[in-house]
Amino acid sequence: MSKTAKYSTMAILLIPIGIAINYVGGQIALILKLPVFIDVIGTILVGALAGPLFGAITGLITNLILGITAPTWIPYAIVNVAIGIVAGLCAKRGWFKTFKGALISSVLIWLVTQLTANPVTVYLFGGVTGSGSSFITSFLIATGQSLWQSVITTALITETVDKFISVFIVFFIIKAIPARTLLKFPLARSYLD
Amino acid sequence: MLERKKGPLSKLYPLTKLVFLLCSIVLSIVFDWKFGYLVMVPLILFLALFSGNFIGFMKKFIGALLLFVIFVFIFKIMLDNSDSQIVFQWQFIVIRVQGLIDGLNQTSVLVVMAAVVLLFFETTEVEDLMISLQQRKVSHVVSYIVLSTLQMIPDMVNRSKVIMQAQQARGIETEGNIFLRVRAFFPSLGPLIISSISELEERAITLEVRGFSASVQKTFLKDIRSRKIDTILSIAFILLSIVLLGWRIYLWLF
Repeated sequence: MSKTAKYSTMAILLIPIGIAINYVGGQIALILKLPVFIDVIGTILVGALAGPLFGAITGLITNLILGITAPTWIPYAIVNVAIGIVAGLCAKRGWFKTFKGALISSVLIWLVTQLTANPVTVYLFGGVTGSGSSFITSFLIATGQSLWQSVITTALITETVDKFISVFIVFFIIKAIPARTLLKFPLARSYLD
Repeated sequence: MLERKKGPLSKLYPLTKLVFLLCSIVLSIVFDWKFGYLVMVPLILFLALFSGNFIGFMKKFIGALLLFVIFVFIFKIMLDNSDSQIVFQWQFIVIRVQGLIDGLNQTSVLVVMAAVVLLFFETTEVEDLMISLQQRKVSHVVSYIVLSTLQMIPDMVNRSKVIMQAQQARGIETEGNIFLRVRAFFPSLGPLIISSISELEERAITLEVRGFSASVQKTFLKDIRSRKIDTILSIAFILLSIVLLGWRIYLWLF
């Protein structure tokens, strides 16, 4: 078996785990009644360990599979793909290795979420996000704000903390993975000296 | 063996239904709400009668969309500042025709999409879909990712429950004020992720031993065949969609 084949098998195997982590993370946040979604940890983790392509695939398939029972997830696949790509690119530059880099990565991931999620919410869903945060949006519309203003304000309230927490969870998890396991992923060089 | 899906729709080749799914979504995007609500939705509900589980389908359909549709109508009615005919008025609540039409237009694509996707998976095993895609030269890696994810999710949910109980037994509070619950999050999720990643190498070796990366023709345990009716239906859907699209473009241009 060549070295590249082994790398890619490990990276391929990482994808289903990433998707399941996306789902389970959201479920644990629900069980603990936390006011955040935490549903992209898996995408960020796969992006950080295996690069932008694998991160993007994880994001895409997460939303398609969740779409089997909840089809309104499918259009948001673009958001999850973008998060995977950005996480992968940040990791390639070694930003997931340091606290400062993780901070920059979380700002970029937060930014790309805002840029992709809000147009989907406004154009396709007419401003509705499908979760409890729609109450915030409808309150803002009722106070006389435009649809865009209301959707962006809602997203700023609900998404900001969420994305920062997600990136830092991934940052600490990668720190906790033993070097001998880390070595087997495509982006190992970004973490090991 | 898992329980099989019943009904005549389940006997169709998965890709025939996939063609129908894609055609319906494209058409509902280019046409306005009348096409979606008066043609596609009744058609899909009619087809759902033959899915073998109409009540289950309706429950999922309404469950997926109810909150969304209600909120869209609330938003559109609140944002509507046209001077069209008033339908309903009570104190400060004014519902006008334009607000309702905006609501219908905004929801139609998603309602059609949700209905057709739910019907598709109500009548199609994901496994069958993957086999039929592989028969059309889609990589077996895609099948592996999708099918193993479907196994992995319930597995990880169970494991996360076990881990949470173990951590509770060690004295980590999972109830109480928000700071306690936030603190419980990392010990609940962390071990789950790290243990799954540590197992990866064994899984990779198992997979390689079974010839996952071998560049040979893969075989299937299950035999799924496209029948003559599948070819006819697929071509019919595509032709009909092209005709309707052409008509729509003609209406836009002239």
